[in-house]
Amino acid sequence: MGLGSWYGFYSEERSIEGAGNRPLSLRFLVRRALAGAPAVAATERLNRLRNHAGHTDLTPKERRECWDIVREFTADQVKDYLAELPNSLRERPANFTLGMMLYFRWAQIDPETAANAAERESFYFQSVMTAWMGKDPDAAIRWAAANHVEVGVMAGRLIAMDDPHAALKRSEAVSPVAAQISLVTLAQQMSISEDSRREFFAMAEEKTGTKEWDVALSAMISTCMARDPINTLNHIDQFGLPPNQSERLREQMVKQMVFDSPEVALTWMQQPDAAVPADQQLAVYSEWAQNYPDQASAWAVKYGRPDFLAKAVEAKAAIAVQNEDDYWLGGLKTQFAAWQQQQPDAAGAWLDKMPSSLREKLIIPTIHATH
Amino acid sequence: MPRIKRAVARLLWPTITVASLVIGNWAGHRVARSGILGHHTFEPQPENSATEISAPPRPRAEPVRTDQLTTAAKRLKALSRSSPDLRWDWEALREVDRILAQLSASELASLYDQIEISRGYYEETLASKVGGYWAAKDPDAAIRAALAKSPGNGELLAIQAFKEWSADQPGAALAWLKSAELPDKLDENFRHHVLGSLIERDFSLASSAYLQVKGEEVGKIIQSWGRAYSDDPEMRDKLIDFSKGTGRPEDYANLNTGLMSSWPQDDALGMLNYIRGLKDYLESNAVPAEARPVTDAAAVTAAMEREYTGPALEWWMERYAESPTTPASLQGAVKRWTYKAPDAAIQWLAQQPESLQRDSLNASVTSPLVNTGHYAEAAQSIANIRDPGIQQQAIESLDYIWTRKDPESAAAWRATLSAATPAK
Repeated sequence: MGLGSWYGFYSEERSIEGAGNRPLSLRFLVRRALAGAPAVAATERLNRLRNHAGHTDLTPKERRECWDIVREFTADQVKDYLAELPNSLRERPANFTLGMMLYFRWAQIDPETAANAAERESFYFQSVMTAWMGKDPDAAIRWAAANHVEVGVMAGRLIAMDDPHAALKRSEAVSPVAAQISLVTLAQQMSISEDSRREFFAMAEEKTGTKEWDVALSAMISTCMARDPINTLNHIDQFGLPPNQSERLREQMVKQMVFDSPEVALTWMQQPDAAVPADQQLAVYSEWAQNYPDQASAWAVKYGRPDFLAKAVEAKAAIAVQNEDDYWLGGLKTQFAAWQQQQPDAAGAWLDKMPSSLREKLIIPTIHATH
Repeated sequence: MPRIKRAVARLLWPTITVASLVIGNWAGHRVARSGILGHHTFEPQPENSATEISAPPRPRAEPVRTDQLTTAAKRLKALSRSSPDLRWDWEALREVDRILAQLSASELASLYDQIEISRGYYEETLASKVGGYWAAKDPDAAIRAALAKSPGNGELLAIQAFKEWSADQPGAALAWLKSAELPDKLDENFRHHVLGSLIERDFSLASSAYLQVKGEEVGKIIQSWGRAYSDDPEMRDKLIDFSKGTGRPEDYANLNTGLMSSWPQDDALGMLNYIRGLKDYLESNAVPAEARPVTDAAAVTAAMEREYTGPALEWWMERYAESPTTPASLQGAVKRWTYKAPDAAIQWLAQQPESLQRDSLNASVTSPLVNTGHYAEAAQSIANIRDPGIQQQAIESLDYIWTRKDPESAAAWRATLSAATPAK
């Protein structure tokens, strides 16, 4: 029992230290004994780097050093080191990053064996395909087709980048996913000007009306929005889009903008032409105020929207009465203070109707001076 | 029969030996994981520390070498276009690093400006690399540019650039953060990131930097450390010793919250040992009297989140029966418990002797009871409150919540308030 306890204790200590180590085994000892000194030194260096990272990921400098070591590995060295990495690779980012490098290196040397070794749904498989597609995309695509593996995302993008004018035909021969990705990639790449957009519409004319077409157009306009959201939304009708698409895309992009940047979205919504209903504007404001009460209240004051402040305070109060921790109260205090500055009478009248437990937390000393 | 006996006898010792080895192995694993016998370090630290630099970088004015910049931009564009997935393309990334390492801050600024973020995550990978190299030379300019780069993604780009830089130079990044002007919460995000990555690599620097942090962020950082290292006995002990020695009782309280919330399920021995130590600490004079309610409430809350509700609340009531208030963290825990198991919460409260603390907890459970449709139970909780001040506040709060939920039944309840409801 003592021997068993010692072994268990020692193995567990090894497995939880740093980024973790596998228990000592006879296979490990034999591998080490048969490996040459340079190989052992390389392995030891990788172990030190990842164990120094521990629970965190490798730094950029450490990643460079690791890759400089791994890129010199033979296939056997790759396999030997993979056997040394702890089983639960995803729990320690450093082990995961090293695993990605090892599979990439393996695919550089023997892509088919590496592809068969990596679990299909895993990131390691992605790493293998990245190396293989980069080296010999046609061979990788043939293997994928023969083994019923979907590689359309990588293939579609590469084909579109390599040969835009033949991309749609070539990617259709790979898979529907590749065709979609090619179309999206072209839409994004050619979104930059009216001329390039017109060229894209002509190239992809046969796709008009399809679901793939809708996805590609969304990607195109998303790309324009990332550059200049206000201008894109205001002039989307002049983008040369096919008929009936402008309104659909505009609605989609407003939702995206609300998610990405509520401040930009709300500012745009104040334009009369925007024609966004008041309740939708309020919903955007309330969500923003929940997470960024200072920014939201400053915006509401700047754009003269005490109504937003009032509504946000009323909504928050209902929650704050039930949950008195700082997370809920902090935002409420900020919003209430801004409302009180803008509309002291209305804010005061509202406060008088609130439960005393909430009133005490919101009352600011100057109120007593004025009442 | 004698044959069977002989066979059994022959097999007996090997079986006992194997069983002993297996049980011993299992026990050894458990004891090591719990940390109760200490720990042994196998891997020495590498010779190059990540924290040599401790001053922010000073930008230098350097001319832009147009030819070099044009070549670099073309090569980076080609790498991005030809790589199947730049995030994992280690050879391409090696080339990217080689190119960027030779450029000045102005050249990196120009490159950064040329990157179109709208094109997808390949460009984001490039942006984070270029941004990281630039931030290492001129963090103010780099982070400002990242924030302005894309209205929707600016913060994310800034965070990526900062991460690339600060991972290799955490000391310089922390020094820069002391005076950097950043939008609300972004400096918290940055600091959180640096300290989260640094605590294991350089405990001394990370803990010193932590002591200089102010405000709510302090609790969040140490809680995140607790969550990250609950499965590592060595780091756990270091963090516990540190947090007990800061002179701020809330540090250990927050660390405990983090530790307990993510303590591994398969380390029951370690957790029991830890809770025993925690109880001894809380019952000692280590925590100043004025800080004890909040510290103790945080510990009880953490225990409740791990399903030790009964013993934790019992311990709480032993110490605070005569307190008329309940700290917010424990109120929140009791509310969550009531949402999850209203009958258990009601029953437990009913079993408590009359006290001010029972009154305060009764007031806490009324809103979850109303929100889960237990109107009669909510009304009874109010009726069970003895202290008139606590009861009045609870009535006002419940009236407000109940009226919003069901005005008719709320009005009916208000009408009964003047009539005495038999109480426990």
